[in-house]
Amino acid sequence: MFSKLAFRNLKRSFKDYAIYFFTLALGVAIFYIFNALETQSVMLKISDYMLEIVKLMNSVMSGVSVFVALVLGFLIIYASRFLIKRRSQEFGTYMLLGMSKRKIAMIMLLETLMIGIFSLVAGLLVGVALSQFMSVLVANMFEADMTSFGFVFSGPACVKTLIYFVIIFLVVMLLNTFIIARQRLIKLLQARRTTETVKVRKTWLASIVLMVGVSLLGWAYWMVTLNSRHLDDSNIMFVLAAGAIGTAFFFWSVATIIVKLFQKTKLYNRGLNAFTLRQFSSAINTSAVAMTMICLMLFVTICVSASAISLHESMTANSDKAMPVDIQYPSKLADQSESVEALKDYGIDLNTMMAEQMRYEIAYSDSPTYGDILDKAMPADGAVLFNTDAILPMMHVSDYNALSDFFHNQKVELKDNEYAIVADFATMVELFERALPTQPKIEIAGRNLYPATDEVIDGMYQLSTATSTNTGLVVVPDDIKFREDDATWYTVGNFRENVDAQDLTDKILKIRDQELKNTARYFMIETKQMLLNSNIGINAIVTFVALYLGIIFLIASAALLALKQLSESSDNRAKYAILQKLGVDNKMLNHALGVQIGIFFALPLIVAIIHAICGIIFCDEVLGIFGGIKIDYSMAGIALVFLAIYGGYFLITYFSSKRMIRERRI
Amino acid sequence: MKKAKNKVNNQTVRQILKLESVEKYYGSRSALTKAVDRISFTVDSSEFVAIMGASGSGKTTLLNCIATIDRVTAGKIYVDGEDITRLKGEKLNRFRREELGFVFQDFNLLDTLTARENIALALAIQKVHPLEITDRVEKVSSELGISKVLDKFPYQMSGGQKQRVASARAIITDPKLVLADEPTGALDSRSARMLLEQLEELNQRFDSTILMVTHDAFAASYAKRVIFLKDGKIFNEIRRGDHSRKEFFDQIIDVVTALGGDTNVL
Repeated sequence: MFSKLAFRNLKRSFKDYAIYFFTLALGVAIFYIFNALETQSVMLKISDYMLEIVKLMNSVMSGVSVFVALVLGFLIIYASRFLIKRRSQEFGTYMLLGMSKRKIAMIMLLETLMIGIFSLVAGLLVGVALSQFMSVLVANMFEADMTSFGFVFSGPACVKTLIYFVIIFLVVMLLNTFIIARQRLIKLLQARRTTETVKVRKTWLASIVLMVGVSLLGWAYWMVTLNSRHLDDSNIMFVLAAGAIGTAFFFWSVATIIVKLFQKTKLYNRGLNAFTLRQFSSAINTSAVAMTMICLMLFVTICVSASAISLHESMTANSDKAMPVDIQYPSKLADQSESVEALKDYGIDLNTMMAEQMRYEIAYSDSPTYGDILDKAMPADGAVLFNTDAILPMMHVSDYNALSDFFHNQKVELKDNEYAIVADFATMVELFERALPTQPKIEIAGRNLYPATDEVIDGMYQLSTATSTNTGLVVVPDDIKFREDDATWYTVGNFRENVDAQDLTDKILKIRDQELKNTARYFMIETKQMLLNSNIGINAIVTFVALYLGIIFLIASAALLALKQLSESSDNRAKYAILQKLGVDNKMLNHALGVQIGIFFALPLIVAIIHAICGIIFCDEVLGIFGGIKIDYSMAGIALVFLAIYGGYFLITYFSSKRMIRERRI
Repeated sequence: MKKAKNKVNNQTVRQILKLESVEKYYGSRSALTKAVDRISFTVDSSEFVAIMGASGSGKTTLLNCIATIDRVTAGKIYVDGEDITRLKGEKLNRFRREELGFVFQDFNLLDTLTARENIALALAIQKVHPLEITDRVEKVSSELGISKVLDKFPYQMSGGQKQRVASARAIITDPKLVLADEPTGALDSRSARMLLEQLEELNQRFDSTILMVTHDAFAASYAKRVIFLKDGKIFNEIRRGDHSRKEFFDQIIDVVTALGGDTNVL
């Protein structure tokens, strides 16, 4: 009997449940997709090392999923409270007819259960379908080929999704029961008859608050873009706080000012403009804090997703530039490497595999420190991010020039009393170039040396996971003797064409593990493949976590906006009824509603995008240190998905609101 | 500008509303309810007519048909010579917008809008030029004595002020006919008296033609003519003439007693 009532209720108020269903199903789908990543990655032909990365990624995803589940749980509870509020009169009628609260809670429970099962199934289906597209992204991330690819269903992800959402539902059901048990009949019956007092702000106060807010935002924008040199640990919190407070001030005051400005124009008294604007203004004024939160969430979504994706793009694009040689290893001896000897014990003779190689010496003793050279060029305000007592490595000019052939560097010429600085880390290059014209003298093994040029030589001397990380190398004349106890020999080389670099890397990694366990031999070899792999791994984890959180934040903000607007619409039905009696036709009414909801959705998004542009410029600068990130059209796909989700919420809100205001005809 | 508000009283009398054997049936053929059964009457310009009857007498159905909210089953309704039962779609909306004014019992002001905006809205949705709107709002509100509250929100106004703002909104469009459906139905006696005096003022000072539906003899006594409905038919009709409102009230009570209905005599 009750299940029948619950089922009929569900059918009848299905459109009320639309937003609830959409959020739930979307949440389930996203949850499944990101937890199924492991299964998908395993399906690809990837190396052992990559498998390790995939495992790491999966555990990171599991951790993030707990947080995501909390966010989704909160959203679902919020949405179900909206539903209860909307149906309070119905519940009141049940109670008036003598139904006990327990039975009403039972009906609500059954409804929640049914909608839960329904959205869980729908969400899983959508999730499984969409995760097939996700595979393309996975393959792209791990640089695996797609040929061996087929349909993937992840059992563990499915079970995990089920467990998490069953827990969320149980909590929702308990809370709903609790809420209903606390309701008073009179409150339920009168729920719709609340009178509204309009929140009006004094114009002068709103103007001041708006000006302060915009100034704070302006200062924060300026600090992160044009003035980002002066940004450091000590003031970054102030900048973030200014951004958040500025945003809050903006939302607190902007509607009042917009209304005031519009009142001065002819447009204000045209059609329903005055009504639309007032509705929008009251919606914003009553929820300035929520709007701020939503806007900041959107901002984080945009920044994080954009930066993560471009990080991947730039790292992949730059890997050839950052890793111009196949292998590199240090040794303590000039003529022989412990690591190569160790490999021989395992039956691998590196020397026979090399097409070309060279050995060079880097010295650390008697070297100048950064401070020795930069002394006069240090910024007066003292914002220094590194230790000035750190030692600069040294290399002989002939070694450096020979190495240039491997690293595609510019060659250097030195006279007897000259030295040169090689670097490509932007901040350091800038500092050195300020110092060199002052002819800083350095003293090595009793000889005074002066800079050969005022410019820093652009170049590198070691393999690295990213480009432009060389913070400085001093190149000195060949006849300066390095102290043997403090020099390290390095070998760089390229493999013959028939060498399988990936296979060799896997073997070397295994040997390294054994060496570390069993012997005390000095074993250290880096191959280009290792760096590439760790790049790919870090990229994949960062990108997927960023996308995961980005989408969840997006869903959270869009759902909050939608619920806020829908509860307004259900409160506003009387107003629309008055308009209809005044002779406003449906076209005008729908237009007014569309514009009002449109602005309500667009405003936080626009503000978030403006924030994000500055944020991304800043991220670009910070991350740009590692490789000059460019944010370009490659993100169009992700942007499209995000827009589809946000737009979907807008459309559901619009159509649900339209239906609500038509519920009670004149 | 449309025609001036304060018309001279000796203006020629026009027939504003004319009903020709209007019928409205509900239900199926087997269980037919004649809510309105062949009703005919006319209302002249500047008249204040009350339609009285017990609940179920068909008075609200009749008003809904005149307001074009409901459709007649048969018969014709002419407003200023135009048959409104034939209007459809956009023309119907325009008719409601331009020719009718509504007075509601709970004022029905939009609470997010100021008094000025509430009044202006009635003209704005007729796409009247914004400058003209400003002028007309100023004029009608000074006539009704609400100039000082124009920039207040409904929650900041007294009941009487709200009533005046609602009246201003009803007449600013210069409607041919002002309709009032049970305007005092849920009001306490003080507010009810205020609203009725307001309607009387609209009728006498602004020459508005008013059609009011009520089951309350006290409310009906403010009208110049009362039409009594019973079971969907006209039962009787009385005019106030030169009688005082008290005398007219007693006359109405007499008819109500004859009707034998459950009408509220207050």
